[in-house]
Amino acid sequence: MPTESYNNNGDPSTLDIEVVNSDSVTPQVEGAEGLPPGRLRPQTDLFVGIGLMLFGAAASFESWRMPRFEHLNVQIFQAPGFVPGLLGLTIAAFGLMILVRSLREGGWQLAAAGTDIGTNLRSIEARRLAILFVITLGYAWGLVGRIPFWAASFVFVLAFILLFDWREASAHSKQVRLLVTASLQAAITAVVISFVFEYIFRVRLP
Amino acid sequence: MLDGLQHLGVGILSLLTVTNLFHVAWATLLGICVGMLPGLTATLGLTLMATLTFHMDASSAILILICMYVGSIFGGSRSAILLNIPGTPANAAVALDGFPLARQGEVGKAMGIATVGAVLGTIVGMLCLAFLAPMLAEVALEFRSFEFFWLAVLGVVISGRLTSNDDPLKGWIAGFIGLLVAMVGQDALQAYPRFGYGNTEMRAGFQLLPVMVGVFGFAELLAVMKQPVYASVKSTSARVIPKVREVVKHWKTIIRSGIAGTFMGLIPGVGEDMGAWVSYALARSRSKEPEKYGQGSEEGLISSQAGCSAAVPGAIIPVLTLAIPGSAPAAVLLAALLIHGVRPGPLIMIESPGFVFEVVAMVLFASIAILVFGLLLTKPLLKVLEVPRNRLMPVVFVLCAVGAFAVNSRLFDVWVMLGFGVFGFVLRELRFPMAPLILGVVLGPILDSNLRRGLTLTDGSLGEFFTRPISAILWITILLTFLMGTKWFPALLGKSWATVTGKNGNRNGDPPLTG
Repeated sequence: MPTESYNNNGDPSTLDIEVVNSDSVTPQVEGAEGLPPGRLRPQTDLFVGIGLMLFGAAASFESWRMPRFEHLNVQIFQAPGFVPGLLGLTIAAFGLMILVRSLREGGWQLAAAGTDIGTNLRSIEARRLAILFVITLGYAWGLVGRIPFWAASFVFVLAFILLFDWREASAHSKQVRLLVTASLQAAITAVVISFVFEYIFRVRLP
Repeated sequence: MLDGLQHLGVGILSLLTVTNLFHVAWATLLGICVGMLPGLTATLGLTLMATLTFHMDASSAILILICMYVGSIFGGSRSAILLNIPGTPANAAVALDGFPLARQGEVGKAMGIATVGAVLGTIVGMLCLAFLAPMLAEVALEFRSFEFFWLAVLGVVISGRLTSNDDPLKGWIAGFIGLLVAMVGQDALQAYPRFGYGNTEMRAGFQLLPVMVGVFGFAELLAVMKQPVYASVKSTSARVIPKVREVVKHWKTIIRSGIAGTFMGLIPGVGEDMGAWVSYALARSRSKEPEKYGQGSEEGLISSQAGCSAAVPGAIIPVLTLAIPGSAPAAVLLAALLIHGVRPGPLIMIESPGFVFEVVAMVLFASIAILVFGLLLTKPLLKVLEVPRNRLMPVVFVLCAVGAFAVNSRLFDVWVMLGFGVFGFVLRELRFPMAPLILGVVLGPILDSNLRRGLTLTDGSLGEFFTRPISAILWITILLTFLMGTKWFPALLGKSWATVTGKNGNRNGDPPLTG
């Protein structure tokens, strides 16, 4: 791994620091080609625009369906659906603007995007995300509220560390060490958080 | 003025107890640690702390939150300087000169200058808070429903514009989605459960804190964990105290940046990152050595850090006087004030004038704390950056689950946190900024109730929304913000200016704006 040292040459007013850099460092926001950095490809924005128009239209439709209480002499702007309806229409209008913009930038050329969805789904990032979704949703939806909080948190923290660090532990001894340290951290996290929140901050736990 | 000084004196004395000083110390330290760690934002730290301090008395809770706020905005500069990864988005400008300065072997100087810049910037902001808050509260007494409606729209529009410079359209969409999210639940006039669909839990709508934990906690965790491991710091030695003359020679820059940062924080929806960028751009335009900016300029570093930190007290000003947040972390502070029974708004200087100056005193104590910790505890604090991400993130998520549950003791809020976490992550991947979304959720009820109340007062006429003086200033500002986000309007303005002045104006390049 590349490292970088900031030396102080013995000057006590500065610091000696060694920074260990891993494979890829700063998460960068990459822009689509020919567009300002941070802008998505027009093909993606095409679907974003359509999605927003549908979302805005659905919100407006649901707002229009809300009761207007005419029998109580309520005026239109006092109706519950007035503001949500306006907001839905505004979002749909913005979605239309995104759609038009993406079409102007060639978003209709879907094949030109050159995106291999299969490759993306099999990428390391996608796998990492899938694992994350499963364990975080499993913890917060599946375990919390059904088993004692300390037990749910212990299982979650242990599973998290093992799932993401196991590959680094190639030798058997490292795996045993990982198991021990992960169990210890999981136990400490579960106990300390439960104790601090319940008895010091007096916050009810799920 | 004398009353103000008296209240400030009382505020300072009230904080000089062992318990309060202990709160100042641990909350600031925790804030610095949260701010340092990429993946933990100031907003998340404040949100979790707001839920933790739910059962404490109001003064202690607000003190802890303010110290954490000041600490976390400062803390982000540590990782910005060392790793070129700002711990919080607010410190992105600090990395521009802090990181190159560190690479030149001046790590200690960079850390020390950033620390002193943060402290002095916070103090300038604090002085502005003390002077401006009472004045703004006086003006705000003239505000009616019409003005509050436009203020809510302004917050969302400006936030959307400035947090997504490459694509303001997506910034505005995020803001309006946030406004729509706030519509879920019982409406203020008829108590009709909007978008409830018969679900009892949905009657109360989405509570702000679980939504914030989801968007700034869970979504951030997903984004951080999606990446491979980031750089970590291995070892340090020695402490850091800059020479006095190294700081004093930048006194004009510090004051200018402090004032600019405060005003950026004051504008609803514009946060600490804009405080840093605007201060940086201003300092560069006035600098005798602008070519050094971006290459390790001390002046650049001190201006960005001072501007960023000054925006914290700046963002507190509209919270106290208008009950409208100046930034996303300030939105948490507002929520906490309301939870603890404080009534921010135009009447605060009449109902509890001492409270405003108590907050000023809290900011002062937090500044002293970051000076002490920033200069004397550099080495131990950097140990925080050695914590492996895979060990830290599960703990953060457990805290997110607890934080979401804590306020109302409802599992539904945990599911709201999950849902908005996934939603926020998807929006981030599609390049929508999060700050306008949250501001929309906060400002939605204000916009809704004031629009309908205003129309009721005028029996449906829109005239007063556009003709009242303050309303006129606000809607014209909103219109200009929209127009400046287009391509043709700035070009048209430029041509018109060239025609009027008879010359082509050269603009200095501005640093990129990030949300």
